[in-house]
Amino acid sequence: MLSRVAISLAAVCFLASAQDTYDTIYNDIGSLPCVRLLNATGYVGCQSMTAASGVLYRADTLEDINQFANDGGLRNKYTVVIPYWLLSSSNVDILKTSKKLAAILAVVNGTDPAHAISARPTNVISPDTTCPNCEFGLYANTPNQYQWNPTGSGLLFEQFDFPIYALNTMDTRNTMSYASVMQAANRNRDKGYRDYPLKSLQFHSFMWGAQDTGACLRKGWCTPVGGASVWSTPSTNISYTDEKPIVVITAAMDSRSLFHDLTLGVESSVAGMVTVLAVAEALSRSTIPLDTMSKHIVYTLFTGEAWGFSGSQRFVQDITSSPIQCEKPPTSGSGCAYPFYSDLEFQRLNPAKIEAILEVGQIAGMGGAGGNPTLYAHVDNIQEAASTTLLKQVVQIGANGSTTVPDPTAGIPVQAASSDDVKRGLPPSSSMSFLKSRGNIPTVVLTDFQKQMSALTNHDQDDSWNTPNTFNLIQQAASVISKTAWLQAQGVSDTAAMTPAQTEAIASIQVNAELIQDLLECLSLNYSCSLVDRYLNVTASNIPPTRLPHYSGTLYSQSQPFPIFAWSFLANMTSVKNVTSPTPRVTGCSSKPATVQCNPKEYCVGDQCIVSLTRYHDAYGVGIAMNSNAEYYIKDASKPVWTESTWDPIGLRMFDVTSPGSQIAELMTGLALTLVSSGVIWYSRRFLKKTLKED
Amino acid sequence: MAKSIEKMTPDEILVASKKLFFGGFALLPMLWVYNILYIWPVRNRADLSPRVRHYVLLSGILSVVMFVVFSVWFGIFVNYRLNWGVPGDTLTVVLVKGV
Repeated sequence: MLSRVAISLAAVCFLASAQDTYDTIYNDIGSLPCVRLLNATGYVGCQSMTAASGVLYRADTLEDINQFANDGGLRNKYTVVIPYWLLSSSNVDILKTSKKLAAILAVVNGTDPAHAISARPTNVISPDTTCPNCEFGLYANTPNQYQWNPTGSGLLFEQFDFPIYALNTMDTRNTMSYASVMQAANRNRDKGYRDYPLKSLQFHSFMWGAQDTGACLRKGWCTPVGGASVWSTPSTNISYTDEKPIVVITAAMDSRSLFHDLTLGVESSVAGMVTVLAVAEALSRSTIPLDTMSKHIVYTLFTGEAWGFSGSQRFVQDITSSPIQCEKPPTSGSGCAYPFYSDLEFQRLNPAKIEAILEVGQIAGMGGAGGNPTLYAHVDNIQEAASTTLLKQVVQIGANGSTTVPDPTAGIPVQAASSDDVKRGLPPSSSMSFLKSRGNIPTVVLTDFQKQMSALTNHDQDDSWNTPNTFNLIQQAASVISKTAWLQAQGVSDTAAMTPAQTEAIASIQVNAELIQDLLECLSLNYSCSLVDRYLNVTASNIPPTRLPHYSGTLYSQSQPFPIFAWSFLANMTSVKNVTSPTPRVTGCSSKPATVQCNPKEYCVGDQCIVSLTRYHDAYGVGIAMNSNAEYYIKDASKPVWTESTWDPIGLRMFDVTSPGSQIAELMTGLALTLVSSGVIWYSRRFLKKTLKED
Repeated sequence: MAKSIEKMTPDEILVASKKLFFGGFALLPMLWVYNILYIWPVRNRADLSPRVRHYVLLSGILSVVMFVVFSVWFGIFVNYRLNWGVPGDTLTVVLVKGV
């Protein structure tokens, strides 16, 4: 009877499940971690070999951090919650040498007054190096390279052996995590960090990769960083041998920051991408059809540019090594299985025919020195004679913009970057990849800075824009680039040499201001907007995506929202328009079930069947290659070989801890009990043996 | 069940020591250490063959030599295995993640 009761009690206790017990102890928090990345010489980022746990400690200012380090009464290990802008090399050193640091939580944006946007200091410091990616740029082998980011702290390239996570109130789940953590930290603070039990946070942040990319790829513990670049041209019949020159319009699609889930990069890349998309839209309405002009126009948006210009370098490498001998054809779809290419259409582009490159760099006007927004046109200073005419044309068109249509962007001047007689050369840009292959291509890079890059370069706080200035800068840049490209494509290098027909037609090149505002909003803060919904049915999903990271991600591992959108948008803008018999496009191909089936050579974009030459292109470090067994290996360690480490499930959880003193007391009590009970058992056995023997 | 060493005849002790000594050359250097530990309780018996002493002495010298060799190899391996690339991975057998 007793045993039956015992068994049923045990069963009931077991059914009161393990999950409930877990929930009473732990509180899982959403996590935005800093992870480990590897390159040819070593690794950067955060690693935690064991689960790190620390009592939550709140430090809002530098004085708080120093007080934490000097406080002798703190006996535990602590998880320090600091505002993101206090995350600098020196502050981290202070925390580490205190020997009380378990992990750091950096708040990028929070509701607490210490973490709010209004509390952000005005002087921002870029975490990138003093010359980002310059070791892979055009001037890598020249002595005394011009440092384009002199205030850069290099935080992105440091190694941390403890977890660093971010907190940001950008959506519901993360806001709840932030609220839990702050509530717990405030309670700890109210108790003076001495009145146990206190709230503690445990981090699981174990990265598999170590040493460098070569060792890590060999062991299969990391994946190359990269994604998909997009290129598009209105000349759907372009071929390698058609002897027609090419005008390239290019921008970067990705950026980086310490916390990859938070990477936006409005200044670092999004504004440039928006400009190129707006240019494509403006040129699509040209009254002189683009595919009848004497030169081809090719739009390129590269991914992986933040990682040593991986996207543009690979693109240039591939188009200069056509034709490709495909040894193993793919099992399905296009491209080639070995050597591996997702798509082979790039072979139609002839790099020897590229006669102009127009690039849009940092254009949002944020994080700069201040002053009136101005656009600067940079050219290479090694072979500068090649770009003189193009530069003159860009500046000329920038000036003429004010005389055609009255518009607010008339106030934004376009100057040559060397207007102060200092020839700095090109800032770090994708065009460098083209120029490394052939240095005499006329190239102009438009940016909002003359002497140094934005202090928000690759910063986690590069998540906002200035309402009149940013839009005006983008609109002016798009206007200048579209008109320059339009003239260049017709072989006109001097505005004064335009034919009357061209002078009349150029007025049709109008940049759509509303489109720029929509694109900027959709691509940074709210992906489920009507513009994106027209192409990709995003609002229909369970949790409509709002803010998506602009980190390029790892190769082939996830769907890439921005390349997919760029592909759809550019495909629509460069699609063949039947000018002679303008029948409306066939619609209905995207509904389920589809009411219309597109022809084999057509794509279904925005519910219409279109013909377009818009393709993806693999983007990952050119130093990495794939062998016939579909494994990655390092082909050339002097080129970018960035990889991201695989990791064990990342997690963050909160629980109560008692004081170290009481924990030791518990241990001693347990030991004492063990000894006492062993003693009791031993003596009673001896006693019983004696008494029983006497019997 | 083996006899305890104190109850063995001098001949049996000689045979045991000889087996332990030569067995060590079959890539079993621990047997040399066992030789010393095994013979130690009876090392001063008068009726023991002098050859036993020689075997035990040589076992001792070889044990020290192997200890030095292993220590040096351990130091080299632990510090340089990451620099050896593929051979280093093969020698490590079970690869530990994160290092």
